[in-house]
Amino acid sequence: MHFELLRQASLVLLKGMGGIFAFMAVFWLLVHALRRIPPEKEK
Amino acid sequence: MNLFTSVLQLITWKHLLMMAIGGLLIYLAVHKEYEPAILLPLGFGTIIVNLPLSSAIDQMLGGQEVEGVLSVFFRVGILTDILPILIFVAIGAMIDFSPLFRKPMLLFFGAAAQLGIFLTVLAATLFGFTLKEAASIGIIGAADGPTSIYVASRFARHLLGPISIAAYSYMALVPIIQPPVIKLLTTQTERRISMGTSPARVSRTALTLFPIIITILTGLIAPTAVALVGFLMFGNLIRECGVLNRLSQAAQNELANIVTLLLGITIATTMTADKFLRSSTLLILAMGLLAFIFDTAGGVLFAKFLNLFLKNKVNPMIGAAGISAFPMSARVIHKMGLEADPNNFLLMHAVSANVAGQIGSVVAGGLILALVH
Repeated sequence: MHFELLRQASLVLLKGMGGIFAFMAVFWLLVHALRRIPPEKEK
Repeated sequence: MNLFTSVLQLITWKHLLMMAIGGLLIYLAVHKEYEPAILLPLGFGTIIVNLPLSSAIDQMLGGQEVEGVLSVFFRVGILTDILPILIFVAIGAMIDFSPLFRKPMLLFFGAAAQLGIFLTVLAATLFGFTLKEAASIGIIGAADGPTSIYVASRFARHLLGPISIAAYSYMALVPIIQPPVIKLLTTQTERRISMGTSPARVSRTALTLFPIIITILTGLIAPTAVALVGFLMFGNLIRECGVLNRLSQAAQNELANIVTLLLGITIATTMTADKFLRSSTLLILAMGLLAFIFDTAGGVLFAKFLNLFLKNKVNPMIGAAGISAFPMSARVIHKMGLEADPNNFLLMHAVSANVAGQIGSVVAGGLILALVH
Protein backbone atom coordinates (compact mmCIF):
# COMPACT_ATOMS: atom_id res chain seq x y z
CA MET A 1 0.00 0.00 0.00
CA HIS A 2 2.77 2.38 1.00
CA PHE A 3 4.77 1.40 -2.06
CA GLU A 4 1.73 2.05 -4.24
CA LEU A 5 1.36 5.52 -2.70
CA LEU A 6 5.02 6.28 -3.37
CA ARG A 7 4.64 5.10 -6.94
CA GLN A 8 1.68 7.42 -7.42
CA ALA A 9 3.52 10.37 -5.85
CA SER A 10 6.55 9.70 -8.07
CA LEU A 11 4.26 9.73 -11.11
CA VAL A 12 2.79 13.06 -9.97
CA LEU A 13 6.37 14.39 -9.69
CA LEU A 14 7.36 13.24 -13.18
CA LYS A 15 4.13 14.16 -14.92
CA GLY A 16 3.85 17.42 -12.99
CA MET A 17 7.33 18.67 -13.87
CA GLY A 18 6.99 17.38 -17.43
CA GLY A 19 3.59 19.03 -17.74
CA ILE A 20 4.70 22.38 -16.41
CA PHE A 21 7.72 22.50 -18.74
CA ALA A 22 5.44 21.55 -21.65
CA PHE A 23 3.06 24.39 -20.70
CA MET A 24 5.93 26.86 -20.51
CA ALA A 25 7.27 25.69 -23.87
CA VAL A 26 3.87 26.45 -25.42
CA PHE A 27 3.74 29.85 -23.69
CA TRP A 28 7.31 30.53 -24.84
CA LEU A 29 6.29 29.90 -28.46
CA LEU A 30 3.25 32.13 -27.98
CA VAL A 31 5.32 34.98 -26.55
CA HIS A 32 7.77 34.70 -29.46
CA ALA A 33 4.86 34.86 -31.92
CA LEU A 34 3.31 37.87 -30.15
CA ARG A 35 6.64 39.67 -30.04
CA ARG A 36 6.41 39.96 -33.80
CA ILE A 37 3.60 42.47 -33.42
CA PRO A 38 5.29 45.88 -33.61
CA PRO A 39 4.74 48.25 -30.68
CA GLU A 40 2.14 50.96 -31.34
CA LYS A 41 3.44 54.45 -32.03
CA GLU A 42 3.23 56.71 -29.01
CA LYS A 43 0.66 59.50 -29.40
CA MET B 1 -23.24 35.84 35.62
CA ASN B 2 -24.16 32.16 35.30
CA LEU B 3 -23.44 32.15 31.57
CA PHE B 4 -20.11 33.91 32.19
CA THR B 5 -19.16 31.26 34.73
CA SER B 6 -20.14 28.40 32.46
CA VAL B 7 -18.15 29.83 29.54
CA LEU B 8 -15.11 30.18 31.80
CA GLN B 9 -15.49 26.57 32.85
CA LEU B 10 -15.46 25.47 29.21
CA ILE B 11 -12.09 27.09 28.46
CA THR B 12 -9.32 24.50 28.19
CA TRP B 13 -5.57 24.86 27.71
CA LYS B 14 -6.14 24.07 24.04
CA HIS B 15 -8.40 27.11 23.64
CA LEU B 16 -5.82 29.27 25.39
CA LEU B 17 -3.00 27.92 23.23
CA MET B 18 -4.99 28.60 20.06
CA MET B 19 -5.71 32.14 21.23
CA ALA B 20 -1.99 32.57 21.87
CA ILE B 21 -1.32 31.35 18.31
CA GLY B 22 -3.87 33.90 17.09
CA GLY B 23 -2.02 36.55 19.08
CA LEU B 24 1.28 35.42 17.58
CA LEU B 25 -0.13 35.77 14.05
CA ILE B 26 -1.34 39.29 14.89
CA TYR B 27 2.12 40.09 16.31
CA LEU B 28 3.83 38.82 13.15
CA ALA B 29 1.41 40.84 11.02
CA VAL B 30 1.67 44.10 12.98
CA HIS B 31 5.18 44.09 14.37
CA LYS B 32 7.09 42.14 11.72
CA GLU B 33 4.77 43.09 8.82
CA TYR B 34 4.69 39.47 7.57
CA GLU B 35 1.80 39.46 5.04
CA PRO B 36 -0.35 41.56 7.41
CA ALA B 37 -3.35 41.65 5.06
CA ILE B 38 -3.89 37.91 5.52
CA LEU B 39 -2.18 37.04 8.82
CA LEU B 40 -3.97 39.70 10.86
CA PRO B 41 -7.52 38.61 9.90
CA LEU B 42 -6.39 34.99 10.29
CA GLY B 43 -4.97 35.69 13.74
CA PHE B 44 -8.01 37.58 14.96
CA GLY B 45 -10.31 34.95 13.46
CA THR B 46 -8.35 32.29 15.36
CA ILE B 47 -9.16 34.06 18.61
CA ILE B 48 -12.85 34.43 17.67
CA VAL B 49 -13.37 30.77 16.76
CA ASN B 50 -11.61 29.47 19.88
CA LEU B 51 -13.81 31.28 22.36
CA PRO B 52 -16.07 28.60 23.87
CA LEU B 53 -19.62 28.68 22.46
CA SER B 54 -18.50 31.31 19.94
CA SER B 55 -21.46 32.41 17.83
CA ALA B 56 -19.06 33.06 14.95
CA ILE B 57 -18.94 29.35 14.06
CA ASP B 58 -21.55 26.59 13.99
CA GLN B 59 -22.41 25.33 17.48
CA MET B 60 -24.67 22.65 18.94
CA LEU B 61 -26.83 24.50 21.45
CA GLY B 62 -29.63 22.72 23.28
CA GLY B 63 -29.45 19.84 20.81
CA GLN B 64 -29.89 22.18 17.84
CA GLU B 65 -27.23 23.30 15.39
CA VAL B 66 -26.95 27.08 15.28
CA GLU B 67 -25.17 28.51 12.25
CA GLY B 68 -22.22 30.84 12.80
CA VAL B 69 -21.40 33.60 10.35
CA LEU B 70 -17.79 32.48 9.73
CA SER B 71 -18.94 28.92 9.05
CA VAL B 72 -21.46 30.31 6.56
CA PHE B 73 -18.68 32.38 4.91
CA PHE B 74 -16.56 29.21 4.76
CA ARG B 75 -19.28 27.18 3.05
CA VAL B 76 -20.19 29.97 0.62
CA GLY B 77 -16.76 31.47 0.00
CA ILE B 78 -14.19 28.69 0.30
CA LEU B 79 -15.99 25.42 -0.42
CA THR B 80 -17.47 26.92 -3.59
CA ASP B 81 -14.05 28.41 -4.61
CA ILE B 82 -15.61 31.86 -4.92
CA LEU B 83 -13.11 33.74 -2.73
CA PRO B 84 -9.91 32.14 -4.13
CA ILE B 85 -11.19 32.66 -7.68
CA LEU B 86 -12.02 36.33 -7.03
CA ILE B 87 -8.55 36.90 -5.62
CA PHE B 88 -7.11 35.50 -8.87
CA VAL B 89 -8.98 38.22 -10.79
CA ALA B 90 -7.37 40.80 -8.51
CA ILE B 91 -3.89 39.28 -8.85
CA GLY B 92 -4.29 39.06 -12.63
CA ALA B 93 -5.05 42.79 -12.71
CA MET B 94 -1.83 43.43 -10.77
CA ILE B 95 0.51 41.41 -13.02
CA ASP B 96 2.47 43.11 -15.77
CA PHE B 97 3.58 40.43 -18.25
CA SER B 98 5.67 42.80 -20.38
CA PRO B 99 9.00 41.84 -18.70
CA LEU B 100 8.45 38.29 -20.00
CA PHE B 101 8.16 39.59 -23.55
CA ARG B 102 11.61 41.12 -23.21
CA LYS B 103 13.21 37.81 -22.20
CA PRO B 104 10.85 34.90 -22.98
CA MET B 105 13.47 32.30 -22.06
CA LEU B 106 12.94 33.19 -18.40
CA LEU B 107 9.49 31.56 -18.63
CA PHE B 108 11.23 28.24 -18.06
CA PHE B 109 12.45 29.37 -14.65
CA GLY B 110 8.81 29.66 -13.68
CA ALA B 111 8.61 25.92 -14.35
CA ALA B 112 11.88 24.82 -12.75
CA ALA B 113 11.17 26.64 -9.50
CA GLN B 114 7.98 24.64 -9.00
CA LEU B 115 10.13 21.57 -8.29
CA GLY B 116 9.51 22.04 -4.56
CA ILE B 117 5.80 21.39 -4.99
CA PHE B 118 6.22 17.98 -6.54
CA LEU B 119 9.19 16.86 -4.42
CA THR B 120 7.23 17.79 -1.29
CA VAL B 121 4.24 15.75 -2.47
CA LEU B 122 6.63 12.80 -2.58
CA ALA B 123 8.12 13.63 0.83
CA ALA B 124 4.68 14.04 2.43
CA THR B 125 3.59 10.58 1.30
CA LEU B 126 6.69 9.21 3.04
CA PHE B 127 5.37 10.71 6.27
CA GLY B 128 2.07 8.88 5.95
CA PHE B 129 -0.17 11.52 4.39
CA THR B 130 -2.65 10.41 1.74
CA LEU B 131 -1.93 11.49 -1.82
CA LYS B 132 -4.56 14.25 -1.69
CA GLU B 133 -3.23 15.55 1.61
CA ALA B 134 0.33 15.34 0.26
CA ALA B 135 -0.71 17.30 -2.84
CA SER B 136 -2.29 20.00 -0.67
CA ILE B 137 0.89 20.23 1.41
CA GLY B 138 3.14 20.24 -1.66
CA ILE B 139 1.26 23.15 -3.18
CA ILE B 140 2.57 25.35 -0.34
CA GLY B 141 5.65 25.37 -2.58
CA ALA B 142 3.70 27.32 -5.17
CA ALA B 143 4.55 30.32 -2.94
CA ASP B 144 1.10 31.50 -3.86
CA GLY B 145 -1.48 31.68 -1.06
CA PRO B 146 -4.66 31.63 -3.15
CA THR B 147 -3.48 28.61 -5.19
CA SER B 148 -2.65 26.77 -1.96
CA ILE B 149 -6.09 27.56 -0.56
CA TYR B 150 -7.78 26.58 -3.83
CA VAL B 151 -6.11 23.16 -3.97
CA ALA B 152 -6.36 22.46 -0.22
CA SER B 153 -10.06 23.36 -0.14
CA ARG B 154 -10.67 20.65 -2.74
CA PHE B 155 -8.33 17.96 -1.46
CA ALA B 156 -7.84 18.43 2.29
CA ARG B 157 -10.20 20.95 3.89
CA HIS B 158 -9.19 19.77 7.37
CA LEU B 159 -5.63 20.94 6.68
CA LEU B 160 -6.59 24.34 5.30
CA GLY B 161 -5.53 26.24 8.46
CA PRO B 162 -1.92 25.07 8.75
CA ILE B 163 -1.48 25.09 4.96
CA SER B 164 -2.61 28.72 4.71
CA ILE B 165 -0.38 29.76 7.60
CA ALA B 166 2.62 27.99 6.07
CA ALA B 167 1.97 29.40 2.58
CA TYR B 168 1.62 33.02 3.69
CA SER B 169 4.28 32.95 6.42
CA TYR B 170 6.96 31.47 4.18
CA MET B 171 6.07 33.94 1.41
CA ALA B 172 6.84 36.68 3.89
CA LEU B 173 10.03 34.87 4.92
CA VAL B 174 11.43 34.60 1.38
CA PRO B 175 14.21 37.13 2.18
CA ILE B 176 15.34 34.80 4.99
CA ILE B 177 14.76 31.40 3.32
CA GLN B 178 16.22 31.98 -0.15
CA PRO B 179 19.67 33.62 0.35
CA PRO B 180 21.34 30.75 2.27
CA VAL B 181 20.11 28.17 -0.27
CA ILE B 182 21.31 30.32 -3.18
CA LYS B 183 24.70 30.93 -1.55
CA LEU B 184 25.10 27.23 -0.92
CA LEU B 185 24.50 26.39 -4.59
CA THR B 186 26.39 29.23 -6.33
CA THR B 187 29.91 30.62 -6.34
CA GLN B 188 30.78 34.29 -5.93
CA THR B 189 31.81 34.36 -9.61
CA GLU B 190 28.42 33.02 -10.66
CA ARG B 191 26.62 35.59 -8.52
CA ARG B 192 28.59 38.32 -10.31
CA ILE B 193 27.35 37.32 -13.79
CA SER B 194 25.78 40.36 -15.44
CA MET B 195 22.88 39.85 -17.83
CA GLY B 196 22.82 43.27 -19.54
CA THR B 197 19.61 45.08 -20.35
CA SER B 198 16.69 44.36 -22.66
CA PRO B 199 14.68 47.58 -22.94
CA ALA B 200 12.52 46.77 -26.04
CA ARG B 201 8.97 48.15 -25.93
CA VAL B 202 6.08 45.70 -26.07
CA SER B 203 2.98 45.99 -28.25
CA ARG B 204 -0.26 46.76 -26.39
CA THR B 205 -2.07 44.41 -28.82
CA ALA B 206 0.31 41.58 -27.89
CA LEU B 207 -0.27 42.17 -24.18
CA THR B 208 -4.05 42.14 -24.75
CA LEU B 209 -3.97 38.97 -26.85
CA PHE B 210 -1.68 37.17 -24.38
CA PRO B 211 -4.24 36.46 -21.60
CA ILE B 212 -6.93 35.44 -24.11
CA ILE B 213 -4.72 32.97 -25.98
CA ILE B 214 -3.17 31.59 -22.77
CA THR B 215 -6.67 30.83 -21.44
CA ILE B 216 -7.70 29.06 -24.64
CA LEU B 217 -4.45 27.06 -24.79
CA THR B 218 -4.79 26.07 -21.13
CA GLY B 219 -8.36 24.97 -21.74
CA LEU B 220 -7.24 22.81 -24.64
CA ILE B 221 -4.29 21.25 -22.78
CA ALA B 222 -5.60 20.93 -19.20
CA PRO B 223 -9.28 21.82 -18.67
CA THR B 224 -8.92 21.42 -14.88
CA ALA B 225 -6.61 24.44 -14.82
CA VAL B 226 -9.06 26.74 -16.63
CA ALA B 227 -10.70 28.16 -13.51
CA LEU B 228 -7.31 29.06 -12.02
CA VAL B 229 -5.59 30.34 -15.15
CA GLY B 230 -8.76 31.75 -16.75
CA PHE B 231 -9.67 34.07 -13.89
CA LEU B 232 -6.06 35.17 -13.46
CA MET B 233 -5.99 36.01 -17.16
CA PHE B 234 -9.41 37.69 -16.99
CA GLY B 235 -8.00 40.09 -14.41
CA ASN B 236 -4.98 40.66 -16.62
CA LEU B 237 -7.15 41.32 -19.67
CA ILE B 238 -9.03 44.00 -17.73
CA ARG B 239 -5.65 45.58 -16.99
CA GLU B 240 -4.18 45.37 -20.47
CA CYS B 241 -7.16 46.14 -22.70
CA GLY B 242 -6.71 49.84 -21.97
CA VAL B 243 -10.43 50.73 -21.88
CA LEU B 244 -11.33 49.44 -18.40
CA ASN B 245 -8.94 51.38 -16.23
CA ARG B 246 -11.59 51.97 -13.57
CA LEU B 247 -12.38 48.24 -13.33
CA SER B 248 -8.67 47.41 -13.38
CA GLN B 249 -8.07 49.77 -10.46
CA ALA B 250 -11.11 48.37 -8.62
CA ALA B 251 -9.82 44.80 -9.09
CA GLN B 252 -6.32 45.75 -7.91
CA ASN B 253 -7.53 47.67 -4.88
CA GLU B 254 -11.12 47.30 -3.64
CA LEU B 255 -11.67 43.72 -4.83
CA ALA B 256 -8.22 42.56 -3.66
CA ASN B 257 -8.68 44.21 -0.26
CA ILE B 258 -12.21 42.97 0.43
CA VAL B 259 -11.54 39.41 -0.71
CA THR B 260 -8.22 39.19 1.17
CA LEU B 261 -9.94 40.38 4.34
CA LEU B 262 -12.74 37.84 3.96
CA LEU B 263 -10.34 35.07 2.96
CA GLY B 264 -8.18 35.52 6.06
CA ILE B 265 -10.95 35.62 8.60
CA THR B 266 -12.91 32.84 6.87
CA ILE B 267 -9.97 30.42 6.84
CA ALA B 268 -9.76 30.97 10.59
CA THR B 269 -12.82 28.70 10.76
CA THR B 270 -10.37 25.81 10.35
CA MET B 271 -8.17 27.10 13.18
CA THR B 272 -10.14 25.51 15.97
CA ALA B 273 -8.13 23.60 18.59
CA ASP B 274 -9.46 20.19 17.54
CA LYS B 275 -8.41 20.73 13.92
CA PHE B 276 -5.12 22.58 14.46
CA LEU B 277 -3.50 21.06 17.54
CA ARG B 278 -2.29 17.87 15.93
CA SER B 279 1.16 16.49 15.27
CA SER B 280 0.44 16.79 11.54
CA THR B 281 0.40 20.60 11.84
CA LEU B 282 4.09 20.73 12.75
CA LEU B 283 4.88 18.32 9.92
CA ILE B 284 2.97 20.52 7.47
CA LEU B 285 4.85 23.62 8.61
CA ALA B 286 8.18 21.76 8.24
CA MET B 287 7.29 20.45 4.82
CA GLY B 288 6.14 23.85 3.62
CA LEU B 289 9.60 25.16 4.45
CA LEU B 290 11.14 22.21 2.62
CA ALA B 291 9.01 23.05 -0.44
CA PHE B 292 10.36 26.62 -0.54
CA ILE B 293 13.94 25.32 -0.21
CA PHE B 294 13.44 22.79 -3.03
CA ASP B 295 11.85 25.51 -5.19
CA THR B 296 14.87 27.75 -4.76
CA ALA B 297 17.29 24.90 -5.40
CA GLY B 298 15.31 23.76 -8.46
CA GLY B 299 15.46 27.22 -10.03
CA VAL B 300 19.16 27.77 -9.32
CA LEU B 301 20.23 24.31 -10.50
CA PHE B 302 18.17 24.65 -13.69
CA ALA B 303 19.92 27.96 -14.45
CA LYS B 304 23.31 26.32 -13.86
CA PHE B 305 22.30 23.48 -16.18
CA LEU B 306 21.28 25.97 -18.89
CA ASN B 307 24.62 27.74 -18.52
CA LEU B 308 26.33 24.57 -19.74
CA PHE B 309 24.84 25.28 -23.16
CA LEU B 310 24.33 29.05 -23.30
CA LYS B 311 26.82 31.45 -24.87
CA ASN B 312 25.48 34.40 -22.88
CA LYS B 313 25.39 32.99 -19.37
CA VAL B 314 22.46 33.49 -17.04
CA ASN B 315 23.07 34.54 -13.46
CA PRO B 316 21.95 31.34 -11.67
CA MET B 317 20.36 33.38 -8.88
CA ILE B 318 17.68 34.42 -11.39
CA GLY B 319 16.41 30.83 -11.28
CA ALA B 320 15.45 31.27 -7.64
CA ALA B 321 13.16 34.15 -8.62
CA GLY B 322 11.01 31.67 -10.57
CA ILE B 323 8.74 31.26 -7.56
CA SER B 324 5.45 33.11 -7.30
CA ALA B 325 6.26 35.30 -4.29
CA PHE B 326 6.13 38.63 -6.12
CA PRO B 327 8.00 40.96 -5.85
CA MET B 328 9.87 39.75 -2.74
CA SER B 329 11.86 37.11 -4.55
CA ALA B 330 12.92 39.47 -7.37
CA ARG B 331 14.05 42.03 -4.79
CA VAL B 332 16.06 39.42 -2.89
CA ILE B 333 17.89 38.36 -6.06
CA HIS B 334 18.53 41.96 -7.09
CA LYS B 335 19.98 42.71 -3.65
CA MET B 336 22.19 39.62 -3.73
CA GLY B 337 23.41 40.60 -7.20
CA LEU B 338 24.40 44.04 -5.89
CA GLU B 339 26.16 42.46 -2.92
CA ALA B 340 28.25 40.33 -5.29
CA ASP B 341 28.99 43.27 -7.60
CA PRO B 342 27.70 46.81 -6.97
CA ASN B 343 27.25 47.31 -10.74
CA ASN B 344 25.21 44.16 -11.31
CA PHE B 345 21.57 45.21 -11.78
CA LEU B 346 19.47 42.06 -12.00
CA LEU B 347 16.08 43.53 -11.08
CA MET B 348 14.45 43.45 -14.55
CA HIS B 349 15.54 39.86 -15.19
CA ALA B 350 14.52 38.76 -11.71
CA VAL B 351 11.11 40.40 -12.16
CA SER B 352 10.67 38.51 -15.47
CA ALA B 353 11.44 35.19 -13.77
CA ASN B 354 9.17 36.15 -10.87
CA VAL B 355 6.27 36.89 -13.27
CA ALA B 356 6.94 33.52 -14.93
CA GLY B 357 6.69 32.02 -11.45
CA GLN B 358 3.26 33.56 -11.04
CA ILE B 359 2.06 31.78 -14.16
CA GLY B 360 3.98 28.63 -13.20
CA SER B 361 2.41 28.35 -9.76
CA VAL B 362 -1.13 28.62 -11.12
CA VAL B 363 -0.39 26.08 -13.86
CA ALA B 364 1.16 23.78 -11.23
CA GLY B 365 -2.03 24.08 -9.16
CA GLY B 366 -4.09 23.09 -12.20
CA LEU B 367 -1.77 20.16 -12.94
CA ILE B 368 -1.99 18.92 -9.34
CA LEU B 369 -5.78 18.97 -9.62
CA ALA B 370 -5.57 17.04 -12.87
CA LEU B 371 -2.98 14.47 -11.74
CA VAL B 372 -4.22 13.60 -8.25
CA HIS B 373 -7.39 11.56 -7.97
